[in-house]
Amino acid sequence: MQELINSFFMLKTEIILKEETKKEIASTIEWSKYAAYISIFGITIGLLQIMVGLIKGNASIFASLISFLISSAISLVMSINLLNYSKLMESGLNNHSSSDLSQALHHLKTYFTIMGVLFIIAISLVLLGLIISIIAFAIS
Amino acid sequence: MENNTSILQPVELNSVGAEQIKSSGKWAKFIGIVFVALAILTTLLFVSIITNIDKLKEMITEKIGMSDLSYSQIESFGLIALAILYIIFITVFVLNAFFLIRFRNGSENYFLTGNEDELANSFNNLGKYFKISVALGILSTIGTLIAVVITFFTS
Repeated sequence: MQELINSFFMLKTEIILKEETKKEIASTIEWSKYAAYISIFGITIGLLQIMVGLIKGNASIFASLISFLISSAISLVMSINLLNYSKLMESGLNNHSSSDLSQALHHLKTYFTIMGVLFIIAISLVLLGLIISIIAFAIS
Repeated sequence: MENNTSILQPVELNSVGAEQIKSSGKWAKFIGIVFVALAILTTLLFVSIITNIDKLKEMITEKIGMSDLSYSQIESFGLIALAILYIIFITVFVLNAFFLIRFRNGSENYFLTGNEDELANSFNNLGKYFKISVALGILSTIGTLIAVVITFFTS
C-alpha cells in the first residue's frame, strides 16, 4: 500500500520536458561549458603571472601565490561542477536519462551553493572589518 | 542527426531533479540579492565621491603636494574614468541580479502553477547569466594577460 502511495507521488512529480524547455537547457549546456573553459584558462594565465613574478624576483610574489592558490582551487571546483553539469545534462537529454538530469542539476546546485557560501564569507569578513574599525575608532 | 531524432523523444525530470532546481533557485536568488546590494553600495560610493569632490581635492593636494593646475588637468580624466567604471560595475551587478532572480522566479512559478513555459523561461535566464559570466571571464583573462606582458617587459 505504501509503495502504491509512493509510486503515485513519484508519478505526480515526474515531468516530461517540452521541446522549448529542452532547447533552453541545451543553451545553458553550451554556455556553462564555455564559462568553465574560460575559468580554467584564467587559472592558467594566473599561473603564468605568478611564474613571471618569480622570474622577475617580485618581492610580494609569495603573498600573491597564497591568494592565487586559494582562488584557483575554488575556481577549479566551480569549473568542474559546471563541466559536469554540462556533460551530464547533455547525456540526460540525448539518452533520455532522468538520473543524468538529476545529477547534472545536483552539480548546478553545488555551483550556486559554493558561490553563495563564498558571498556569505565575504559579507561576514566585511562586517567583521567594519566592527573592528568601529571598536578601534571608539577606543582611540 | 542522432541529436535531432533524440530531442523529439520524451525526457523526464524526476522529483530529485525538481528538488535540485528548487535548491539552485534559492541560492541563485540569494546571490542575486547580494548583487543588488552591491549595486546600491556602488551607487552610494559613487554619489559620495561626486558630492565630496572638493574635500577630496583638498586632501589630495595636501597629502601629495599636487598643484591646483596639475589637479585640474587630471580631474576631468579621473571623473570620466570613474564614471565608466561605475557604469561597468552597475551593469554587471544589475544584469547578474536580474537573470539570477528571474531564474529563481521562473522555476518557482513552474512548481506552483505547472506551466512549463515558466521552466523554459527560467533556463533561458540561466543561459543569459552564463553568457555574462563568459563575457566577464574573457575580459578578466585579457586584463590578466596585459598585466603579465607589462610585468614581463617593464619590471
